[in-house]
Amino acid sequence: MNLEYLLKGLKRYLSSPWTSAEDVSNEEVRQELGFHLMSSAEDLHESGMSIEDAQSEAYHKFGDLKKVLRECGEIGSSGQQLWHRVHLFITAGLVVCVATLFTAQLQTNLAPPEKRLSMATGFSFEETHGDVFGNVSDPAGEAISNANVIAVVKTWPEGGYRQQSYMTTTGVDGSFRIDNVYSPDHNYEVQVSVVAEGRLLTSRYIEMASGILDRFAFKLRPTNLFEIRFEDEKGEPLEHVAAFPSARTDQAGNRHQVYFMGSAPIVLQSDERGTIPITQFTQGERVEITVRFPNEEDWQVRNFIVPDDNRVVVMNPTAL
Amino acid sequence: MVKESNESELLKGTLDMLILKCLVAGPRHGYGVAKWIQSTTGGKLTIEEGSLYPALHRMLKHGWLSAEWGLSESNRKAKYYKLTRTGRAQLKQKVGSWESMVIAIGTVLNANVSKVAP
Repeated sequence: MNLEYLLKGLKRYLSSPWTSAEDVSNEEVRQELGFHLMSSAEDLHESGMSIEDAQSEAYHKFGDLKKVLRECGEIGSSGQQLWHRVHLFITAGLVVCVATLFTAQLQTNLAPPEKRLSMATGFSFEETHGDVFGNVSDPAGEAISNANVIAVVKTWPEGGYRQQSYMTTTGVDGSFRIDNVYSPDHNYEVQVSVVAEGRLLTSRYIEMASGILDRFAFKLRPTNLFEIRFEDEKGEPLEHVAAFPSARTDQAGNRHQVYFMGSAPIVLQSDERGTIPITQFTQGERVEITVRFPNEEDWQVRNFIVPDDNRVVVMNPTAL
Repeated sequence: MVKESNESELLKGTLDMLILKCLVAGPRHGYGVAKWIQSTTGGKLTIEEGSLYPALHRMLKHGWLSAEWGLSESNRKAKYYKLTRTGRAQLKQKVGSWESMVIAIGTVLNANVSKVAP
């Protein structure tokens, strides 16, 4: 079937949904055949026949008018019938989808509250009662308030895997708590990262655990401020570069990191000088920041060693 | 579909070819096609005029023809059919097949009839 013919059929179908395809198509055919019969009768009349004889002869020469109308109508409506069937198929499919979703939701709603499943963990709310909690302080034990605490929890409900990020900040006393994020009766993994102003980025990863987590106790060492300056190829400052401190390796070789999932609250933007102050790293350490330059969709990871002399670290979009 | 004349008999499947050929010279409405066939064959070939329309609509659906409503010589609304590039290719193919068939039939008709050894 010709594409143009199909598209015309679709246009006709959409513009006349309440009229049967056959009616729309037949009306045009009637006009066409009517012209033929009228022209034929006129020619016969001009050749000397009476009007009545000319009309009769025109019909005779034409043949079975009803049959021709029917055949042309069938040909003309077949393209629209296709769209009608497609329309019906899509409608039926949508009805099935809606019915399925409604049934699933009904079953969920009818289940006792404690039996409903947590979207985050895949286990029931009743089972998901494990908390992530602890406190953040300096090496001397002084509480650090307003520190960003990012927790990423991984669970393995039956036949699946879930990963969810949570974020909170420490209170005046340096404590934090994120409730109901894992099921103690099943395996889970947890990464907790702390990002605080003027303090080393610190994280801890709990692998394949079950049961109730112990309290986290973070002691964050102070850092020295340094800046990252973003420039273009001509050395001009780049404003609105987004970046966040994403990882560091301490002197003992331990890696501390922030998962990309959950990093949104700690993303910074470069100012008109193209600079971002980074306060979570210390001199001499190998570190990573995650960067997105203006007009780019993708984030990229940049590694460098924090300079000892507080020099500014310069980055541009093309350097690796 | 076709009234047998005293001098010719139209083979099946040739109506499309006649219509396509008729439209080579330019767009025509269905009545114009009927008149062209009648006049070009000098009346030796007459077609039940109504049979043209299912053929025209079928070829339109296949993309061999395009159609447009316009005004006739008598200032009436008429549907004009025009040959498309695909239609031209179809005509060429059908004419080729027709000519091959005519040659084959002619060969059979001109052959000497003789006894064939068992």
